Amino acid sequence: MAKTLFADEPDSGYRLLVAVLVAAALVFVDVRLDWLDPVRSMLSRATEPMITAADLPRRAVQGIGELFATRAALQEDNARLAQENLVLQRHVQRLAVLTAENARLRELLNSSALLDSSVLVAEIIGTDPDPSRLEVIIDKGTDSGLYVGQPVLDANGIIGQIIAVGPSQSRIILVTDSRHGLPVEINRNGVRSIAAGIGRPGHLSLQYLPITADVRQGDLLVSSGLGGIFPRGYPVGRVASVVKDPQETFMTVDVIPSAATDRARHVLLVFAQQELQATLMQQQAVAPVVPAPAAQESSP
Amino acid sequence: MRNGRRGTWLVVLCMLASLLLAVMPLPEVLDWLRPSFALLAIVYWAAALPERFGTWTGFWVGLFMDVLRGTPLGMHALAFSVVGFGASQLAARMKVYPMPQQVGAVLLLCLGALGVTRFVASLAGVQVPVFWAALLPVLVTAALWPWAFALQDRLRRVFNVH
Repeated sequence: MAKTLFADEPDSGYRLLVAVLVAAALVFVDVRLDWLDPVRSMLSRATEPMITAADLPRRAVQGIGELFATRAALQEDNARLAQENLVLQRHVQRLAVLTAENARLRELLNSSALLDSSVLVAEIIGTDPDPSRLEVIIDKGTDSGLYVGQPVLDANGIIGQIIAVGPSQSRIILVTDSRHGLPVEINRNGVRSIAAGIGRPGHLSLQYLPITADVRQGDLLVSSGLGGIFPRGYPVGRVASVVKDPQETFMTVDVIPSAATDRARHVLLVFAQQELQATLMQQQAVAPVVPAPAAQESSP
Repeated sequence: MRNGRRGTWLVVLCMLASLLLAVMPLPEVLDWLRPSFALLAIVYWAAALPERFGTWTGFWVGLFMDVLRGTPLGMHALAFSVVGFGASQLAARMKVYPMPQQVGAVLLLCLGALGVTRFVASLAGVQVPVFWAALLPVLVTAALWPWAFALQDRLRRVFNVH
């Protein structure tokens, strides 16, 4: 290339021009078309070990902490978890009956709205270094059957959705990111709205609710399933405050998300049933795929 | 074949380390200050060995950064190639500049990168932090130049890369 011609000179303006044009063309193609997706996927094979490596110091600190956990603390933890387990098991027992009943009733109604879903557990291994973008990186990717648009939950509610997948890592946009909106309904009365992120960790805001709408502090919001991305009925958050200014068309509603958007370490990836089956057909269960209680109970 | 291939591994290592620091999880407060280590590495090597590193070095590091950060491919590549070019043009002057003036030059290059990134982001529809929040890391980056310079200069001399 030109390198041999200008052996010992600094770069000429032409070289910059070429680099700028190439980069600009890349941006244009990447933003407007999807030709570069395979390239990105290939390149992310190279970057994934770096994300993993960047997480090592935190892991080491955590590991050392666990090493020195006292016996008493561990016992206390154990007792607490055993108790929690008991409570949860009771819930599951009740859930089994309710699910079966629900399935029967829905059959009577000829409704197909029942969303059987299964989940996969993943660990958060990185966050986006730009604090204005609330995104995290998890340690599962296309190798485990993940796909763009897949809903992500934590133990308490919806936490976000996948916006980019690599072979063994994926990027999740959190519900609190200001670019994210989530169709919800109020559990108490079914009033529908959109829970939009405002870019502040731990806060959501309800959009386009007229000041006459029936919303109260403490109302539970669940996903309405209207967008077609998130399954129906998962908790999203609780209304923390409602401000009704008669001068405004819409009320201002502050919502605290149920999911620990800024603290969670493990997340659940929800598969619609057919997606899961396709994955399992491809490869015999690479990762621990845990069927949700609903999936177990629907067979009889 | 020129004998100028010596020590490329060290430069690659510096770039990789800087990219690693760019995605290292930090407490949120520090995230607002996180300097662009990649820029410090590019500026140093382009200014030290302008005949070997410059525009394309910046381009490749930037492309890697784009994949790492999930930004549109080419956004950082564009900004970093401008910085690589600028630094290689300034190389002769950087060698005689006193430190405060070097910091000033790095500040200008970083501001250039910031401007280019924000311009491309606005065209591509990518969300960026508000301006003052984006300015803070730039100041930190320039302030770190004396140490980044000393460290990499030391490495370069120890491993005799020229």
